[in-house]
Amino acid sequence: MKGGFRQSMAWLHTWSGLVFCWVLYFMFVTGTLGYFDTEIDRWMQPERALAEPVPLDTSIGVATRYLEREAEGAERWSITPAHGREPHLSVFFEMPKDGEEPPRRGKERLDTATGEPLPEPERATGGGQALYRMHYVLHYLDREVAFRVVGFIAMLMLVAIVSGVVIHKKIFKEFFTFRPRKGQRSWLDAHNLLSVASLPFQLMITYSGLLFAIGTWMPLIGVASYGFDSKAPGEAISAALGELSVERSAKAAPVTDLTAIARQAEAQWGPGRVGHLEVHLPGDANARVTALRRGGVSALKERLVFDGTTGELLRSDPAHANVPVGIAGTMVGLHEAHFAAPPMRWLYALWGLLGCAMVATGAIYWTAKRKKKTGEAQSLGYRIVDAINVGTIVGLPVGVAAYFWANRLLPIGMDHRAEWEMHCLFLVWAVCLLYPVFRPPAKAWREQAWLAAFAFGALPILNALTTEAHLGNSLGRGDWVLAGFDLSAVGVGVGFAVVALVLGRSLEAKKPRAFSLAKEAKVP
Amino acid sequence: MTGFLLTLAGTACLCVSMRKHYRQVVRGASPTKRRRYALRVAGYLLLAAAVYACITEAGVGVGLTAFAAYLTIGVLGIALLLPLLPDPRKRPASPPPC
Repeated sequence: MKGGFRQSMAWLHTWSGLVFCWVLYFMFVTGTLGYFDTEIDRWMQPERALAEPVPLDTSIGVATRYLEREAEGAERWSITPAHGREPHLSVFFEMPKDGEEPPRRGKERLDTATGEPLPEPERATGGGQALYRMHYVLHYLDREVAFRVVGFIAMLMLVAIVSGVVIHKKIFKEFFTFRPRKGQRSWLDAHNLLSVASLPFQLMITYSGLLFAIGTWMPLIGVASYGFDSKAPGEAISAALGELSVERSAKAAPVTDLTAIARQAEAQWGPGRVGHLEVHLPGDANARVTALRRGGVSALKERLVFDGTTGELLRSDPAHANVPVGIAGTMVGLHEAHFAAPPMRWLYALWGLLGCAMVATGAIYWTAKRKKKTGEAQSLGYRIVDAINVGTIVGLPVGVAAYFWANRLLPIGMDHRAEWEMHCLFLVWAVCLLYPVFRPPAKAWREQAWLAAFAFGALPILNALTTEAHLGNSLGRGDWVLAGFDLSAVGVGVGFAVVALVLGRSLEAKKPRAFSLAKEAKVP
Repeated sequence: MTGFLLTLAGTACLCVSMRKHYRQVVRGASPTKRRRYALRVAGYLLLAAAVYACITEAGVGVGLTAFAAYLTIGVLGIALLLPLLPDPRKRPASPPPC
């Protein structure tokens, strides 16, 4: 059974990897873009005014006045002062539940100068948020269904990682091995190298991703402890994570001075360390105010709890009440990477790209291996996989580029503009999927790679023709968010151009030898 | 930055401590057992120092995450650079210049 074990693991790795690899690739591409969601938001709405930095006191004052006016008697207010990646003060409120209707919620970015919500630019867009959300709820699918699909595929991914480590016989011996220009061998080397080099990230991102789906796919764990009451496990989790539950009293009482609370929290944690202020039951005598600290890897934060009417400090909670909560918070924090400053964010993006490349090289290796075995007479299965490979590995990035093109080219003010941006992504991807059906595969690869190179490489030019947010302006102002987008687009374009050139050269190499010799002979 | 450089140095040592890669880097020469052992120990020590540097630079959580990322860059970078070296099997071992 010993040899049999590794063989069955190889089978498992091949098929758990291949069958849904294109959805997995989609999740990796959109998830990687998600690490730059606010930066992409900014590029897709360059007309949005930039906020001037203001002191914490001013932010809290502006937010309080707005919420008192617009959300009196709310269940909860949340105030997030401007910070690192998000230059705007934002507020959130949730009104009490009224019958069966979901409670009214509101989220606004406020202008600290006027105290009013910032006007929504006319350029309606899904922005980077829409790309980011797709990595866990896909698109055109019911949220619940999509979430189940994504959870299932994440499970397959974990199976593929573990079985991949098992079947990689020379994991240490070939730790640094990459042999280019050797066909099938090179694809396997590339797949192994990308996977092994980024293994800690791949394990972390898959496992922590699965944690998000735990309630969906393992509901019986909750049932075992809390019975079939579908709400009970959720409430228990909230309690374990330290969510405040405050009972409403009949008495009204004004909210305490929130700026004083913010100042007290800042004095304890240091400047820029106050992440959010939350007010539970504002206006009620039982109101509570919590200040959450910013910083650290974990998604759960240290916090101070104050009496919401007197402003008295009631208690100080550590980020993690116990070890399991600490593990959960750290896993979620590592997955979402809200803690990551720009250099770390780029490292995450690199990891994400390696993940994309890992899935892509795995899928290509599947075809490269079968091509060698069966020669030219390819089976239908082979042709289908090869076509979807071209259409997705290169076609999806072309679709993403189309999303950005649509953002600049669709008429401003058209109906359902944000939806149409997304339709453009999927329409272009669909065309890219159909194209290789009618083209010899090698040519389809090269032509689509050139298309991707153009689609990304020309984005800064399109940007310069359609907006004021082009490189000339952004570089001059030192606006690295906008400039970074344009320069990254050029980088991706150059990357695809290199792929196209390499593919072109391997096409040349396959032509009859005499031909290429003759060509070389002409060049002195 | 110290953490990053130490990680690169450590990964490079571990790579060269393998016979195959030693022969690629030091053209055609085979390492002695002792040298391979020394390189391996140096590699692990450098990586330990890198972990320490990363943690003192950025705290435990962010530091360890950064170390993992540096390790990825180190392994990938070295593996992609090695094929650029001439293949040791194709040329006879040249005597070391003295």
